[in-house]
Amino acid sequence: MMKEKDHIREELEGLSPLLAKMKEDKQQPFRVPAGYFQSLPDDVLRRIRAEEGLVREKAPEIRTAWRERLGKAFQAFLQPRYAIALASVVVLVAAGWYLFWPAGPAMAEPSATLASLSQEEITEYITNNIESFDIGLMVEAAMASEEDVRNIEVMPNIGDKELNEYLDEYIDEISLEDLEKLL
Amino acid sequence: MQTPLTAISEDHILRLLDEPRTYEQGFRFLMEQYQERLYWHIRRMVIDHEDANDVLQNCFIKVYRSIQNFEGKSKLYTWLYRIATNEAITFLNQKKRRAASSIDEEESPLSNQLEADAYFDGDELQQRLQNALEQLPEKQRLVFNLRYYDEMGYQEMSDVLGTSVGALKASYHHAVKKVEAFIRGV
Repeated sequence: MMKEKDHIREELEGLSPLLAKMKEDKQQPFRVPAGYFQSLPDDVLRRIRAEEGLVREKAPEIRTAWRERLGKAFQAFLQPRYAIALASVVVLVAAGWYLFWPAGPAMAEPSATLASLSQEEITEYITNNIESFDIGLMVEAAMASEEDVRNIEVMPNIGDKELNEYLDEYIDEISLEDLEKLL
Repeated sequence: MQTPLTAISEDHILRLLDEPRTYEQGFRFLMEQYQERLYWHIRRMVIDHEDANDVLQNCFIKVYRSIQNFEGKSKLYTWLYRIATNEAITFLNQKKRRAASSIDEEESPLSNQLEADAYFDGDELQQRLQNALEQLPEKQRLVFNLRYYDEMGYQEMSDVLGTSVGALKASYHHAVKKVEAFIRGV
């Protein structure tokens, strides 16, 4: 170390005797406030702790907020309307895949599949999945009378022509009130 | 905690920093060991004490958070000098940008700053030396400071600044000649 210092001094004397002399006379024109170096390590550590404290305080908030948002989103999906919508999407995707996948099984006849189900199986399915059914549709179904149901079954088989013939034939027997109901 | 009276070896500090349980103690020793050398290195670059204090604290905080990046390929204080140098240069560049973008914040000449600085007690010759250093390009000023004040060898300087030893010698020789010419008023 002394060797390096000597080398530096000799080098400087060779380059600039003036600067070499100044260096010998007084090296340090700057000063620091009293006690500065004694308190600096504590000041730095205090700053580090303060900054880490801020990070720690913020971190749980961020984690909580993130969890809350995720939880709320998950809960929203459990709401009947979203659950039904989601279930519908899943059913549609599955049906699409089932129907259009080139290497998939042969297309099944939906009516045949439904027909193969027994009344007991249908009832059991409805009981087990009652929460997934649209409340509005269930209310409508509950309010429909037996006659309505029968009409629903019959009506699709009647064409415009048959309906006009029926009306022409029985027009006199139909009361104005019943006609308004039909229209 | 009091500043240790005896110098603590670099290896001992690094061993303490290697253990989470003794990390803070090791870091405190590191600061106590190198704070003065780093402070003066920074102070000569930024001149003002408050600025030097800010830069040094930022430098230590950076060291606290990135000591694991120290690979031991160079001496610890060489690595610390590099961080301190980068911090000081970043600070000076920011200060220049602020001064350039602000009409109100016109930077006063260094001679005025030194006269107003309560922590500068250099005579007229020392003041001229500081003015001469201000005229040097930043890198040349760094080289001059490291050699003239910190008495750093060219190889260590090369490790700190990432410049070849030959280029550093040439830079220092040029700097010395320019400073002397400025002081003499040539």
